[in-house]
Amino acid sequence: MTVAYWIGWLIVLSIWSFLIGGFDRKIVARLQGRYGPPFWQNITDFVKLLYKRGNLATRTATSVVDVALIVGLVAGVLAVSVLPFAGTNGTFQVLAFEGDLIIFAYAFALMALVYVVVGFAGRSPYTIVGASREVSMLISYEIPFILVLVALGYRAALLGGATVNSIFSMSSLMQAKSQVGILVGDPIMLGAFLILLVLGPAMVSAVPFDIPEAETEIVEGYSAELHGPRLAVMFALKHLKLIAYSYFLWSIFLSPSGLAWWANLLLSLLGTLVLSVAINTIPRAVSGRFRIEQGAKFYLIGPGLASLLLLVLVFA
Amino acid sequence: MTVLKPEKSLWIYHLNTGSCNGCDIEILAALTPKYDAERFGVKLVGSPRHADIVVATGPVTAVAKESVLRVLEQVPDPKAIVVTGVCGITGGVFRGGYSLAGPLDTLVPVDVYVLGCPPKPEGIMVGIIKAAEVLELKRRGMYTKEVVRVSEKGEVLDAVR
Repeated sequence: MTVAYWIGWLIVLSIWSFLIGGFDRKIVARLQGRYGPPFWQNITDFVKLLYKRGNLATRTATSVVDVALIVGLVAGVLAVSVLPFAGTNGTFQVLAFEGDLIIFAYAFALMALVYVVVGFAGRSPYTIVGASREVSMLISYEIPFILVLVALGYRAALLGGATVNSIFSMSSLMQAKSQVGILVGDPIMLGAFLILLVLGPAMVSAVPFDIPEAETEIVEGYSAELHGPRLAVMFALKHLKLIAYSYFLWSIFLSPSGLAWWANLLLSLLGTLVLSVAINTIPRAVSGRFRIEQGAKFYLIGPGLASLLLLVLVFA
Repeated sequence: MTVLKPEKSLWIYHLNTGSCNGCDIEILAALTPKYDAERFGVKLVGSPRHADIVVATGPVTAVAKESVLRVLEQVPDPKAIVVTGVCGITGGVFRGGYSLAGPLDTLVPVDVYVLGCPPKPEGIMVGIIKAAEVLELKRRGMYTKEVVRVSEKGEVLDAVR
């Protein structure tokens, strides 16, 4: 029964991720005074890409690309599966064990590494530049991300009264949530939430930090040599990453506890929409793209120092 | 499922084969917020491998010929080619010049002509929409290789067959 719920939830979430992408394009269009595409446009794009057929570049290592894309899809499903979702009585996880927060961080790093592998396997100057930029960005945003997760887990263990060896488990976070109500009420948790929100655009490669896939300079970077179904998987992976990250922020920090399952489900969909607008759409509408060294420096100096400060405050 | 049919998503690739830049400026104007091509699902892509429709400008110069053929080979099927401006259709004022390798239709099959020097953005938009109809016919296997002409102001001079 749980597995059936989980599969249904995955299907709902993946369709919702495409709709969120469509809402994103619609909102940006309305901000620019345009009518914009219909909100189901990204589903149309995905279906269209499945129809396309052509020859892959002879220098592209096709088998490496295929394996990398499958690994990426598995990592995306894994990232969603360790997060709690709305069940008939409260929230529950499909994959729950001590250390599932590490699995979440690992799945996100794996999805970024999939981009890197696809880029280097493309063997075109554009894809290789995109892959090397992705590596630079990965190093700069992964450090604050891991530090924030450590601070978050330790604070949750303190709040919920769990032991220190379970600081990387979602269940201790849920336990802390049941005691505090909404987790952002706690000052340390609020700090962690704000840092994770700033990290958002780089985690989901949204515009000021979509340096690895700059369309106008290096023609979508790592996916420049892909087409047809492979590009469709890449397209889906990007949406999966956006929804996994915004659902992570929603389910950990903002979701209220003790609701009926349908209210929880609707609020989850609404919450992911609001959070993805905050980390993807608004930065895209109001700013241009950074250069790679600006992006790397921004994350190491801003969220990097802030996460160190947070860590000191937690252990003090 | 008419809302999800593939022709509602048109990713276009802009190919300059040696144009004077007049048509290129008009293509960019057709993609600006004023004309809002995105409402038809149009998106400008940088890589020919992502494209559905190639919007080509200019007479094909001898230097550009090899690159143009390689780029068109990289576009996955089904694809449509829209030629914008008289230079691409007949050679225009450059016709018979020593440096030309022909208008584009002597090298590859072309689907839509947009007349004008340069055509207005309205004409280019109508050309792209007609190319979408051509794509649908190609997907269904009903395409008969008749070229559609669109005037510079956007009137359709031939029916899509």
